[in-house]
Amino acid sequence: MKIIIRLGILFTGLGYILMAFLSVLNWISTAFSVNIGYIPLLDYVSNDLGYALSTFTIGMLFIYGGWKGPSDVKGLSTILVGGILATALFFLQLLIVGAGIADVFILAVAGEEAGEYDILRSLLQGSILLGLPALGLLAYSITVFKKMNRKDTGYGD
Amino acid sequence: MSHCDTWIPKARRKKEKEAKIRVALAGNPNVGKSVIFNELTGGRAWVGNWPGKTVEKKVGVSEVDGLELEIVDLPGTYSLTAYSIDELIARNYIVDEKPDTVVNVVNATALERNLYLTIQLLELGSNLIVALNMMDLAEKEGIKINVRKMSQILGVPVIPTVAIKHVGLDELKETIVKIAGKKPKTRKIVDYGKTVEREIEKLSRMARELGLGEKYDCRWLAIKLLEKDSEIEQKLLLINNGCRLVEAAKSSRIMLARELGMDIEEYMVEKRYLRIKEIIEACIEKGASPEVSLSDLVDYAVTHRVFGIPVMLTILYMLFQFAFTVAIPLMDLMDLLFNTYLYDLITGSQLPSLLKSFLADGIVAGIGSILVFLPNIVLLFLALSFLEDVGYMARAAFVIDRLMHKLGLTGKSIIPLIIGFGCNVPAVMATRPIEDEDDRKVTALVVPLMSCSARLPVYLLFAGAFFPAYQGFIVTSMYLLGLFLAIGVALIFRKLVFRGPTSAFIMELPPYMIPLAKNIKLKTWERTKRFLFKAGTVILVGMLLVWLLSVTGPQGFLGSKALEDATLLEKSWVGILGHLFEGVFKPLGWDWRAAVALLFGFIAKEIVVGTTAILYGATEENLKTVLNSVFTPLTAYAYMAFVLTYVPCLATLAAIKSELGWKYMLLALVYELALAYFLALGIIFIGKFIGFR
Repeated sequence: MKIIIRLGILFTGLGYILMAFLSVLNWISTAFSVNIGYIPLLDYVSNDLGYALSTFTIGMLFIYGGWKGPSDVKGLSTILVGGILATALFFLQLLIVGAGIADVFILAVAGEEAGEYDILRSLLQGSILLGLPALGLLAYSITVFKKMNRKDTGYGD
Repeated sequence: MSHCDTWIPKARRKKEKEAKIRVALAGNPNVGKSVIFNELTGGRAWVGNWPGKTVEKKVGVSEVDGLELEIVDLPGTYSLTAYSIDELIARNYIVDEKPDTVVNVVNATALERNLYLTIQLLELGSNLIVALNMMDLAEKEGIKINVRKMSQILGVPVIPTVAIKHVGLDELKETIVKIAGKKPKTRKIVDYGKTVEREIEKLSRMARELGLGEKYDCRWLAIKLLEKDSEIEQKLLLINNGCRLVEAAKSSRIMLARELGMDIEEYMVEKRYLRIKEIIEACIEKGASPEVSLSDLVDYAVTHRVFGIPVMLTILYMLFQFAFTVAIPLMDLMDLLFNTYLYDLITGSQLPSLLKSFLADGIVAGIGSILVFLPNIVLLFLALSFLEDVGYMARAAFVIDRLMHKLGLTGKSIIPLIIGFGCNVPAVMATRPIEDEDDRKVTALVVPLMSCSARLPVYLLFAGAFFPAYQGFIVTSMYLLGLFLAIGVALIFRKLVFRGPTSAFIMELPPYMIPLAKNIKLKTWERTKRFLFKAGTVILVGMLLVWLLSVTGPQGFLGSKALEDATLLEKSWVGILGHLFEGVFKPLGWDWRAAVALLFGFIAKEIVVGTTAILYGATEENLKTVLNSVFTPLTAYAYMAFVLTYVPCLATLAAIKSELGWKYMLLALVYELALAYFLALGIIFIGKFIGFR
């Protein structure tokens, strides 16, 4: 079970790193008008360099945590902080989707020209998809921390 | 029901001195002093400056059973020496104003450090109450404090509190009222040993003979003289026979240094800490403390050598994304309100054309173009207040501090630099606690490079117009550029102008806390209020000035058509002014109108946006389209960098002048102008070289 959790942490981390890499590719193709061909996954990541840095940071925190293991204080710390950041990014994207819907609604009510808003695509962003396992990791790291302070013996590996 | 929500009008504040109880709040930074102040006063305070100083003074009012409490929030300090302005202000208020009660807010989780100030307040002879705050955190950490015993040892009331949950605050208020009329006892809280006590007694007696007992606690005065407190010595030299006491203290110091074999000041500090250790041992039962606290656990990653800076950048990025993207619908609402409904309402009315132009092109276009960014600013303030109250901002300072030390700068500069992200004026003032004069000057000179909230509307306008897909990243880059420029310039100043070693700095990391919604709301409102006030005063006047100079010229009144007709606008005062500077900005790819906007931005940086709107004859709605025809993404980015770097606003210059004098104010003005110009030129040159337009 514990090895599965560690693998889960590592894979979530790798997912974020992949997202960062795709985001950089997306940025390069947009900023420098470079033709990199059609990569379907690019539709699910932002083309913002700040986004790339954020997902890379979260990915590295998870990978380090998975590598050290959640029973190690250093490992648990990076999983916890990675989980907090990933959760924040998850809710931020939800807020952005909400804001997008509200914006279209306001403009439409005011009789202004309102562009189309693809809700499904906004919801299928990497930060939301990977945010779900990250939420689980956050809850898991809090549970491990609580057990650690109760001096139970059955936490982590 | 709490009585503290009642706001006392100004007229009532002038009641007889006897009718109110004057309370001073003292404590270390980050102990929850502000929370207690807000809880006691209902968050309503009037802010001024301490007499003769530019340090903020916060005063609030509360009522208990019909009695008025005037509460003064003293600057957060670790001790009461004469080394920093904040400490001097705190102690001089207690000595000179003699408040009826001093409430010392103490962090129950860090008693060893906090009780040092308590000891000094007791030695000062103040009528003290100790508010033992953060008791919930102490309990979580397994620290059990015997409050009654602590009260017995210190000889003053000790009230356990959890300020953010309003626990213990009613008892605190009752105790304030109870002890307010009592005369404080002279206490010997620290026994400095036979030899030193003999000298303290001798000097105390002399002080009493000189009639100083009325104003000072003579034992405290003697202790300060033995510690060679320069401020006290100077005060004594001004009174009759005061020099005798100073001379006697000098002889005592020499004699004691010989007998003790060490510096007397060092000896006394050591004795105080030994006494604190005794108090802690007597009052604290340290239970089964957790192996690692949640704060420690989070801090490992957040302040990590490798992860620390990326984590900080991630938080910064999310902060800006939150402030910009989430605010879009609200911005559209503001835009519709000002630039569509209000503008159309005025232009479609039967008012005389001059008045119509004044209202629509001057006030609505000018102020509206700034107020449209109000949602962004509110959300940014909200997020910043949240991060502050959670305890993250101290970590961000810590992470950057490491970098600064590597560059040979003092870590103490970090606090003003972080404050500079909000507003440069208090940031310049916040350099005061930096003891080393060179460090203080360097910090005050580079503070204007920190991107204050006034520059945000400019970034938002240009980032939205030229980089809609990367708004968050572009604005974050401006903030980081400012920070790195500040570090770089400070380093150059340190190497070339202010040579010498940098001072050491100990930074306190407060425990993480779940912030109180009420406090965040209050902080956000206070900051927003300042922005709104500025928009209604300085910015409004600035906008009207721009409008007036645009519709008039050497030929007299040109009419509101000048704002629509480019040829006519060039004949206005603004046009003439713009053409004067046009040549200077030509290599940067900006036209004369952009130059005029920069010129007016000197009044307040927000004015750049409003001026741009007026001069390009655009409303918020079409301003971005108009700008796209004048700037390229590259010249727009260079323009944003110029706005970040060039001359600070008038208020910041006034603060620098007040803190450092004319010479340094001029230095700030000149170096920033030069830096801004060459930075913008560099961006354009490098950008073109890479292939940007």
